[in-house]
Amino acid sequence: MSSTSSRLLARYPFIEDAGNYLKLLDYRLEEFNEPYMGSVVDKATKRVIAAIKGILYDPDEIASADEELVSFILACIMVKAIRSKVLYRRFALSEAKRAEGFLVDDLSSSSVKDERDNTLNSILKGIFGIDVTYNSSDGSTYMIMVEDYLRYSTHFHDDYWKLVNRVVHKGYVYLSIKDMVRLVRDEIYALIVNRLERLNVDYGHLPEALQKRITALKGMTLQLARDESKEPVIIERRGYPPCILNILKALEQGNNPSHTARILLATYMLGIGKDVEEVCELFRNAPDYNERITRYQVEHLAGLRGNRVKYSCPSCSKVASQGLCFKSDECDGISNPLQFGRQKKRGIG
Amino acid sequence: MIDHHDDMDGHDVRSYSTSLLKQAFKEYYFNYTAMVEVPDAIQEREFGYSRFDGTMVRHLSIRDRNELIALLMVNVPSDVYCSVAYYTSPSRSMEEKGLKAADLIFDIDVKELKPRCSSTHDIHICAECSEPIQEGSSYTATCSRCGSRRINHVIFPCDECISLGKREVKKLVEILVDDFGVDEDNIKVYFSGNYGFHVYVKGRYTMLDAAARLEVVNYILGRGLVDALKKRYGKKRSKEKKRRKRDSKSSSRSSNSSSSRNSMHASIRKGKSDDLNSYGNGSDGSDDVYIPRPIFDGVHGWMGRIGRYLTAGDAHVSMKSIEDAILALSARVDPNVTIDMHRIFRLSGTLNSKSSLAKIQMPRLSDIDSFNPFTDACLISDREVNVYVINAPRFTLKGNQFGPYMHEEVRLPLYTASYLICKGIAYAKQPSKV
Repeated sequence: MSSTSSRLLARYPFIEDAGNYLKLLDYRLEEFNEPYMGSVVDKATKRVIAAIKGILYDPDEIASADEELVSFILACIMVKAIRSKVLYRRFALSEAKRAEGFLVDDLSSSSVKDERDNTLNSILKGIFGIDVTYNSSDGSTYMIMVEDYLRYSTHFHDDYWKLVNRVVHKGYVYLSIKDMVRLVRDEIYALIVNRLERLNVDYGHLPEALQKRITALKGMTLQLARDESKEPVIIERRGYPPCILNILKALEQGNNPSHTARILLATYMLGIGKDVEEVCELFRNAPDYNERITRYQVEHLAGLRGNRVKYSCPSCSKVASQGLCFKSDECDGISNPLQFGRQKKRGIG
Repeated sequence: MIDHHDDMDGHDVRSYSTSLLKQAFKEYYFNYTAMVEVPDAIQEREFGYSRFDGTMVRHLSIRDRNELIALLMVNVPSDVYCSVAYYTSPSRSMEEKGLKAADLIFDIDVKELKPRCSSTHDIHICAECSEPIQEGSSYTATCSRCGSRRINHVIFPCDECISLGKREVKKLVEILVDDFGVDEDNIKVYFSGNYGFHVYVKGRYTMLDAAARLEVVNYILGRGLVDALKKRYGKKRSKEKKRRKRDSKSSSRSSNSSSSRNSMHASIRKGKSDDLNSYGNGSDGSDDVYIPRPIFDGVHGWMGRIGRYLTAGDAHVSMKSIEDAILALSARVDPNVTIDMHRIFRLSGTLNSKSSLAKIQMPRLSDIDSFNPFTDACLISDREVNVYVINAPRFTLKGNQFGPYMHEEVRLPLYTASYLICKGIAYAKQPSKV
């Protein structure tokens, strides 16, 4: 392993497929019972504890590539063995935030050119397929193609990320380092979730050293037990229009639908006669789910709070203008998602 | 399209008019086969067409040029459409088509630009009895003959209206080239065949999804800029407002009315302040927000565009000036058309049944100023036919002036007769002869 790639692996251990890497280095899980592996197991445990506590695992505690990578994989194994969906997400978020810090560091103007180029090529281009150009005349700006920017920015809700509020020139969007990294943070999160999902270990026969840690960590995870005890919400999908199905699918996959998408889903469900409880339940899979806030918002839409006005489901044209329309043949003839399944209408022009 | 009128002899003039139009359209497709554009990747496109009876056929796939021409000659459609999208299986249902990509399209509808000249040339007729309506808009008028409130607004575009559309096209092209880096060769501009323009962007942006297209169209409209600026500068403005309120209270208690803060506001309003971080309401109590002028300088994109538009020198710019700049610099496109990737859009080289003019492409972007739709897109033959015209203002087609007409039978070239029949203000009183 070259020094450049080992540096990258130490900082961004998720770039390598965990299972492959263990095989590559010919690690056997039993080895982790050996005393010389104690520091790696400790490190992995610290990573999981940081995730449980919702804090950042100290970026200064960066060790060799091997140690970082193996501790990351062990942490993944522990998280999977604990079998908590909440921990799953917290761990991915914690590791993504850690990587984000390293990315800002690597892309800053003060970083060594080779390190910067290597991060640009290996992480942003290699993993996320974003062709990033360093704007040397500015020193704090990166340029990415408009279509790459839109691929990621359309998931953000804030006006700040709207294309109209960015500097756009000759097909490129100009971004500060901070914005460049923020743009891919969710992708890093998704990648770590993917790595976790792909990891396949015989959890019934883990070495004792790991089992002990897992038992202890399970105790710490008890505070998250309420969420843990519930299985992810599986939503009955039949009979819903495609715009609604799309949001339900996003929620089911633990993604983060936009504010407008959430309003559409809630007003639609209230419109077809679901009660507040049922509607709140739909949002439970969202990564930023907060029961109190969700209930308040849904009750507001249902006209139970504030000015006591019940919000109606937006029209199809409004849904389309918000970029949430995924119309199918079955949508023909309707002007509001609540009418789904009635007469025919054609989109011509 | 044709409304149902019974002539004095009681014959069904609708079928005569339809038959005349069908003949005119068929002659066009026979004589101008080469005008019909064969879209790129034709086998990946969904086609559709409307018949003169108002019914529509969709989800057609066409293999090649010959099949397309055969469809036009055999069916003689009133309108022909082709998907902006490329599909794996274009003839299947929407869910099964398999969207691969879609041209990025923009629709500029001159009607939406609300041309001032429209009142001088558009007419209104009663949808029930065809009586010309002399006054009022289609929303407020009532027919003096039958009392109906269903009034048809018939558009008679003039050169001035078309120039408005051309201006929007030029602004759109400028934004596409300067900001989105689109090569001019990948921008195709078309006259829609009635009252607007269609702009297609080929190449790199065809892979954008609907949400990304919405962002692009919002960018072109400059939508969201004002809100973002208000959010950024308006908050402090409200703090300023409170402070001013407090100041005015204290000034009413004491005689010290010329506080330094108030004088700062005055200088901001006059654009003389050197403090780039200071902004706020006018002391006249208006809600306008003032933005430091330098944020618009030396940058690309919208901010730079606004900066170049604004007059130099002022230290601060009012939000009203920025709104005016956005209105002048944005291209007013229809957002719903751009974001609809499944839309079937009028095929170039085919006739528009709202006017009988053809949708045609500008050969070069530089040709747009000299393009005259009333000549260049008026391609129906000039053999003469008799039609009964209910009401028409003076208008020009193929360089010839026609009208005004009022409830009279006139012998007109077929292209003019078709134009008026398509607008629903004329009909054939007898079967057409080939």
